[in-house]
Amino acid sequence: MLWLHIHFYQLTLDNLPKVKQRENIVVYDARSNSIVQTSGTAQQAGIEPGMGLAQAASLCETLQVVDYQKQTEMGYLHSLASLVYQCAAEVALSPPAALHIRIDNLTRYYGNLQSVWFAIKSVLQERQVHFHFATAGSPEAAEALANAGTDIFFIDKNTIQKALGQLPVSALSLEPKSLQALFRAGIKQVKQLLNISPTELGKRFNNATLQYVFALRGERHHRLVFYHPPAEFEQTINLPYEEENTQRLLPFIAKTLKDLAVFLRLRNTGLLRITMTLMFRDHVPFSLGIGKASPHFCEHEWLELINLKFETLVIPAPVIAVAVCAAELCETSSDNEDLFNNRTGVFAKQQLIGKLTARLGESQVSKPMWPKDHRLHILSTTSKNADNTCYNDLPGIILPEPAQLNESPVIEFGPVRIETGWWDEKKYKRDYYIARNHRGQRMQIFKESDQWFINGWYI
Amino acid sequence: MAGIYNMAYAELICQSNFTFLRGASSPEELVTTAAFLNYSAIAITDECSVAGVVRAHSEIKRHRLPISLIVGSFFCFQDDFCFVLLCPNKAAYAELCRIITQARRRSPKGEYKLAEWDLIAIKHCQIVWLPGPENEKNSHWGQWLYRHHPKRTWLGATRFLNNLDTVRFNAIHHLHRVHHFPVLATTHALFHHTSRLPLQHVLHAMQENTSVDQLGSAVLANAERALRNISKIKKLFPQQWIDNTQKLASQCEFSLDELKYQYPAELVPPGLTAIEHLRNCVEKGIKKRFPNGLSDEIRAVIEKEMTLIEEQDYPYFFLTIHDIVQFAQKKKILYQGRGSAANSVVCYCLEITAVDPRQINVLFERFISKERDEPPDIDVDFEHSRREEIIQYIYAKYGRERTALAATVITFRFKSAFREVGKALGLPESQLDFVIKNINRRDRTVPWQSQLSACGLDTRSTKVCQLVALVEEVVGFPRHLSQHVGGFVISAGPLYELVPVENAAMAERTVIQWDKDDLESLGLLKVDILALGMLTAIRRTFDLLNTQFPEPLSIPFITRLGDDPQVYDMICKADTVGVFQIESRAQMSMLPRLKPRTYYDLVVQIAIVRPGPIQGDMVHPYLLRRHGKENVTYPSEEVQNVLSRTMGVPIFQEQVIQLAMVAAGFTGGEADQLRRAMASWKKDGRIYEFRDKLIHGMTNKGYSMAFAEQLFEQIKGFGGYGFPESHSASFAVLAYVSCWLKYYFPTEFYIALLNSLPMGFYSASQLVQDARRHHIHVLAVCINHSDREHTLVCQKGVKAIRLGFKLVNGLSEKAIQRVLQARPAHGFTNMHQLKQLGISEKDLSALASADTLSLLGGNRFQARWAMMDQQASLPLFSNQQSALPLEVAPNDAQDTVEDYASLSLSLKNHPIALVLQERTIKGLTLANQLHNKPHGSVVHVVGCVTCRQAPGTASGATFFTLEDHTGNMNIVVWQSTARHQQKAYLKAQILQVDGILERSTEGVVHVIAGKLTDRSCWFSSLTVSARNFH
Repeated sequence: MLWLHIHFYQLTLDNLPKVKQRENIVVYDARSNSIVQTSGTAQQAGIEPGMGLAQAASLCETLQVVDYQKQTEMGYLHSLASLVYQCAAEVALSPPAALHIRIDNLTRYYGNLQSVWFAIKSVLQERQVHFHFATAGSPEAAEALANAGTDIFFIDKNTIQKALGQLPVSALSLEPKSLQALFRAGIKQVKQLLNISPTELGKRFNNATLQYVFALRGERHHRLVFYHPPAEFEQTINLPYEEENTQRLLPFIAKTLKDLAVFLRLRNTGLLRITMTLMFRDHVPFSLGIGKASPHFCEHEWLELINLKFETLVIPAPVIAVAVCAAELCETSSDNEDLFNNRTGVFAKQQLIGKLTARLGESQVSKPMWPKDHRLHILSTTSKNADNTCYNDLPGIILPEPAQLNESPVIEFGPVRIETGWWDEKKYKRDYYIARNHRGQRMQIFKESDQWFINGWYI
Repeated sequence: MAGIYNMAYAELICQSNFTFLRGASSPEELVTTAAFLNYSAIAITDECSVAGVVRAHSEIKRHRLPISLIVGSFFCFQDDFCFVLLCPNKAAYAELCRIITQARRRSPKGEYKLAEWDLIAIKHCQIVWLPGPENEKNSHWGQWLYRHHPKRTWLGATRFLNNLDTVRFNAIHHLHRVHHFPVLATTHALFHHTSRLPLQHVLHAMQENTSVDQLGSAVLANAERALRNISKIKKLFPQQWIDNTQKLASQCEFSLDELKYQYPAELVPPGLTAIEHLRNCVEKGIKKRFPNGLSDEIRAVIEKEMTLIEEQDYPYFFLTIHDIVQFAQKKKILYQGRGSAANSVVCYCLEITAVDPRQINVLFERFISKERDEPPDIDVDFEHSRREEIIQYIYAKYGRERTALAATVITFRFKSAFREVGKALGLPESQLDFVIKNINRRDRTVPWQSQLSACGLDTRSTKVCQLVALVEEVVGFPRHLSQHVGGFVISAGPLYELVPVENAAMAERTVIQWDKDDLESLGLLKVDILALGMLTAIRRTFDLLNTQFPEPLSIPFITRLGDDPQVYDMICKADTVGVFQIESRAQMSMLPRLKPRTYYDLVVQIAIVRPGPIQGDMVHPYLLRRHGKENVTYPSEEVQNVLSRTMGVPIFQEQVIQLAMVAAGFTGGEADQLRRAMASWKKDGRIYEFRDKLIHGMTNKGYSMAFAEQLFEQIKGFGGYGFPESHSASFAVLAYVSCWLKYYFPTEFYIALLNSLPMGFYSASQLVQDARRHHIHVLAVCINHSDREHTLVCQKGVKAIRLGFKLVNGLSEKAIQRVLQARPAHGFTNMHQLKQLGISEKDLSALASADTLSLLGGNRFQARWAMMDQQASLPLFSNQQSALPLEVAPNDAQDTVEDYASLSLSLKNHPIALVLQERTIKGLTLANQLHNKPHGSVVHVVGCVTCRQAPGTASGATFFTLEDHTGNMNIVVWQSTARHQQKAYLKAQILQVDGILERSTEGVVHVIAGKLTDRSCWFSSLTVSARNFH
């Protein structure tokens, strides 16, 4: 057997826009307080993976930091797996950022092993990701060689054994405890480790270490769980920084659409609708549906549509993540069918609202909600997460704009002084009263520049 | 008069920022504003706390504010019964303290839990009840109060101008009608001015661990919780309710001035007064301290001191400390007193201090000043490893009811304020962390506010502006109470009648709610029981020596011998690694300049290398005058009296205060206020209040404006960093004793130091290297020869240090004991014996890695491999040796790396020596060759970085200490050099410096760095411990 191991050592960085990659940028893992990926320019400034943030920051004044998110990297890894899956069937994920690929059984399709490698490499190069790789008789040995940055496509067994033997034991994926034990017994090269008899090892190390050494020697084979492409397409892009310009989201979305195109092509399906959810730090996420009359899979067309949608889109806050979901798949051959036949019943409420929004515009559709805020004019905004408590002392109808009151009101209660909102620039200070007009209607009023205004009516 | 009476209003519920994360103004701000608004009285009623009342009380006294302070506290019981207890008299105050103590002691730190019985038992406090909106609960608590406290309950009516005002008003009217409780108006203030509303919102968000916008309608709706002017109050409340505030306030006559400290009576035998007993103790001490009799001069000083102690009513204080040190003596725990009263002859006789009055001409007035009326200050340092015994003695003797630690108010510092305010404003935590890590607070040229844009924050945005403003406001705000390092308050009766006591974070420790400044303001005394590592080291040295010599060594024995020129020769050469105080790099570079030759020189030396004198630019003039290069002149005779002992340059904190008195005409009380303002000027800038008075006072007395302004700058320089002579005098004794021991008994001294680690400035590795440079043999840790601790051994008649098992990283105490217990008389002969001891694999590996098993055969790798064999310890395989000894042997470099990893030091090789075996560095100068190089020559040095220091006083310079196999080198890296070579500056473990050698006239050598090159790759797996930016 021959296994290829590919380690993508800077997946988060590779998924940033190209312009960003040329800047002093690092990926930082807060849990271990260490830099895990560095751009070329950051490396030139002396920043290396493993450093703490403070040290890195002091080495480079213009350092930009992107948070490492395991989940996001897993997403990228899945998309790479789906790419490689086009070339090879037995692909296994090696989290957080590597793939095991069995290649010896592919020669019958490609003619020789070099052609296999060429095919896989082309796919990855097109995707412009950085990686280390190596081949060996077992996934573990290939992984050790790749981790050491070997970057050689070995075919000959003896060469593989020789290269493996020369590796430092630190390149092995052993538990830190075992690694430390080996190191402090003077065993620093893999060759030394492989020369120790299993009996001697067995007296000193646990079963997992022993099994790993067997696997390195190619004497035991790991049972891998192979990658299977998912039935639905859903990908979330966690942006490395907050973005308020929707146009700048397009490069990120384009990458995902490419994956989507691959996804559709492999299934020979088209797509009627993409649901895109923009997520914000402090605001509720909002989804927008982009649909087409006939199914499409070409990423450029979808990107164009999204671009058009974005031109008019006003976002309430910078976006931190975008989720792209393609749920409405359909056969590309069914061109003549009326897609909406017998389907009205399945539209969920959300879809209906989505369509209304698309047709009427967002400002025209809203849900009344009670806000968690003292400011009464915020009452009329739509807020999915607002609580539904009813405040008896608040008016049932709030006017879109306060109306002038042209009579002397009879004040029943007040003032209720609201002085708040300094944090979001909607600061105001106002005294509200409950009053009754000559027709006996109760209203909420306030006074500004010697003029009474009606804020709302009680019902 | 009637008109004025109509205007009178007392605010009876105010929560200051000592109701942590709720109140948004300090007690000082509240009382000042209340006085400005013409309130007749104000009650500071923090939640289950009186932590803020002393500050309010002091502020009123300091500024003679025309307002009365009422002491009280706010409580919530079962979430629906909120009330305030106010103290009309001292009995009520004691009652309040007891209630708070009980509620606090029932709960973990920072929380409280009232019991119904606490409330039923109220006999003296007045109760202001704040009814809630729920009628049913109001009805229940109304009846309850009517049943238990019908005559002392008041209804507190609030108007927050929110939608619940009517509900609350209706409830108040109803309860008044039903129970006839009188109603009084209150703002229930949380801040002194409406502008503090955003800060209150932010504090609230911090408490809820969320952001302000997420709090939504939970935040205060408006700024009506600020102190209101009286005309507004008159609009909001009926006149009767306003009058009632005055009625209740006039009943509250209690003042904190009434609190008087009662010392434990048991210290004085029956039939004697405290002063008589103290006199007896002193007389006993005289016989011991002055066996050859007293000179008339010293007798006169003692009499003067005793009179002063009697007049000021301090005998109990001296007796308390005397009792504690007697215990320490009995237990053979070494100690040393210091502080304003500690260096008196009385304290010498009471054996509180070893500072011999014949050696230092100390005037007692300088230490206890009747005129200044400041409390006597005696701190006692004990051996750090045995301080707990003293603490337990105090608890046992006086009981936990009568003893507690003083509090330390933990306040928001820049970092915590920035992080917490940022979070409350909704900024992402990673961004806040990034900014905090990137802001250089040491950079005085660019304030932190201006550095924000470089960290990626848009300083023009509203949010960032709010962040800056709120951080500035919140810095210095109290965050929580913590325990003082060792300040004990001991009282005659239960302490909880004097001040509330609460649980500390540490188990079995209780703290009072006041900090040391509060205690000082009220004239209450605390006894500082502190820990000092050097005392442990000195005692251990004595222990080692006293087994060898018939005459037991002690601190007084050494000080009685007088100044030893040979010891001072050693000090002048800066050969002071490991000694007390004068061991730091800054001190060491000053020693050859100052050239101390007497005890008092050491007192000056210890105080002069401090930020205060350095920032006040006092070091250079002192050195010039000391070496006769500048004339010593005084503007007047009175100034001469103050400054003559330090050649006209103010070096000690006491001198600065005395100058203010003699040159600017400050009264004793004013001088004391100045002293306290100095200590906190960076926090509150209160010192500027004294500027005009000082300068006018001095110019009026004929001093030049320049001299006056210079003095003010010096006072500022001393602020927070000045060192009192009284402390320096005690430290100098220990510094001298440690130098004396190092000079005459270096082997024993190093052993004691190594055994007392962690302490001091140097690591075990540095101490061992220094010992070896002094030609002391150091023997490796050995399975058959080592003890737990480092020991003194004699090899062929030569003393040597045998390193102990405690140095082995990762070796458990249990394993050490097992090895020592089972070790045969002639030692272990094979590894198998060790494996049979039943100690863990981890311990066996630690022993093997530290190369302690070399006597049993094989190198450390082989030993470790053998120890890893788990089967060999099983009975079946008990006679089998490891079948395949691994054929690996460490080379020198690997040995060194292993040594550092397992022992944090190496006796075999120095990394730099190994590096130099491998490669030649052109023009390299070793540490011991630097002295032969001419001043100004270009040098190339390489060493392990053992210390990086960037003191605030060094205007951006960083001091590196590089170590090679021949010694240490001092490197100065200027800010611009560092900025351009950040990588090597921050990262290098092994550093090459190409620079210019600079030698002062006194022979102090520095290398001024030009180029820094990181050479860590030459020894990549080495880990050398370094003190970085401490």
